[in-house]
Amino acid sequence: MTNVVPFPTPPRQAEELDLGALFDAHGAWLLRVTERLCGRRDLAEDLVQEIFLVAWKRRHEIEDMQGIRTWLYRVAVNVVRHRHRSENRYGNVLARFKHLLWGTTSGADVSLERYQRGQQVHDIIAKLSPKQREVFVLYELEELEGAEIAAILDISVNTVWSRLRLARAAFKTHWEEVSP
Amino acid sequence: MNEPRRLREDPELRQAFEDERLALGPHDLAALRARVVAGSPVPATPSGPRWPTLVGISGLTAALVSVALWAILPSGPVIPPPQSTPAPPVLLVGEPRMPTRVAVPGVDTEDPVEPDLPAPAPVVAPVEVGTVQAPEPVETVETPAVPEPAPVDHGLRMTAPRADLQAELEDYNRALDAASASRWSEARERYAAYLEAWPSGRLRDEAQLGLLGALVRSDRPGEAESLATRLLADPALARRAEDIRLLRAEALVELDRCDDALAVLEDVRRSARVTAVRNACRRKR
Repeated sequence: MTNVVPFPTPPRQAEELDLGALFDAHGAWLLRVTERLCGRRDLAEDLVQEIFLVAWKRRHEIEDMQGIRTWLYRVAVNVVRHRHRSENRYGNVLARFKHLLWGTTSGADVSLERYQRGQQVHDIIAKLSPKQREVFVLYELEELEGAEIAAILDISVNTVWSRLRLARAAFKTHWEEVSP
Repeated sequence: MNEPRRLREDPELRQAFEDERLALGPHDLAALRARVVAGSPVPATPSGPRWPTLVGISGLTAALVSVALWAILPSGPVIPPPQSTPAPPVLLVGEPRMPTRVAVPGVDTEDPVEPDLPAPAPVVAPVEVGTVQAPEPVETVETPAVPEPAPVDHGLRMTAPRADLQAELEDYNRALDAASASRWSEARERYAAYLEAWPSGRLRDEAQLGLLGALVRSDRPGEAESLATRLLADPALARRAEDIRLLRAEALVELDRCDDALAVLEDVRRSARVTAVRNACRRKR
């Protein structure tokens, strides 16, 4: 029996990446996860724009659209990490813009109590260390599987669980302080 | 190791994790999409001390270099450029300029030592640092009229369109920034300025919607209502009709025309803002 060698697929061409279609498919959830990871509503849109800029620059690395979600998660994590490093380098901007964190309530029919509770969750997540926050957001809020998180963060699954354990402990400690 | 149970399954935290979503956003996805597709530049990190630091360091460096140059260079009298240019030496093409060797009768020209005799006309006066040297005269030769050279192709054909796009996006982003910061009067003026400067701009639709929103929020319901009516008649904005109707309804509420507002909302999907308009009408009644 002869082994059939598959004909190599040609590399993706630059023009094939439709940024508009990519944004329509992934823009909304990227905005959500970026806001959760960076803790800044006012910054999330800029970071998403940066993510798509990276996607455009590295479009040849996108081998198939099946795994693009994981690939975009990885880019999002890296873009947020880079932004955190920049901010730490040039002063703690986060503290200066504290009043802009997650802004104010928007919907008229959203009860203030529920909004404030959601805000408390965000505030506590912002207090976690960056590594714990990444795992916590991806597992508890984005509801990804452990193996997928390990692939996104380029760490072992066991490391995911150990960071998650620490993040949960820290989260619960803070939650008990603020919840009635 | 099995996957641990998620915290949102904990009865104490379930509600908190559900409410977490309420604290996200809101974001203007359409405007962000326009920015992404247009490839507008990503704003830099808001790093306060960075630019002043850089400017300070570069300014200090420039001052130190200036002082050092002033101390090093000889401070001789500055010789003004001669008013009348002496007869220049005629240099032929291909004649070596350095070293200057002058043929003097009676002196062996093969001697490498420079002759003691003063050199005639072709000797070039030594140039002093800090003095102004007269421009070297050029031999005037009658030359036939040469046509204008063709412009050199530097591979920068896209310069002008890119500059236009950049300027347009900057105008739009200024308006968007004002709107994002709830500076509605400024946003209104900037959106209007964008539409005037770029009547067929790439972000015209977004700018018109932005202007409409800014009018509603800056207490200009009359203008907002007339603009909304005009935009609803524009087939190019058909896919944004729902957003326009909602903004028109909000303007109508401000104009105390609640019946019209509720009629406009009949075709609009239920959302928090629709409920807010209905509640406002109920209160007014």
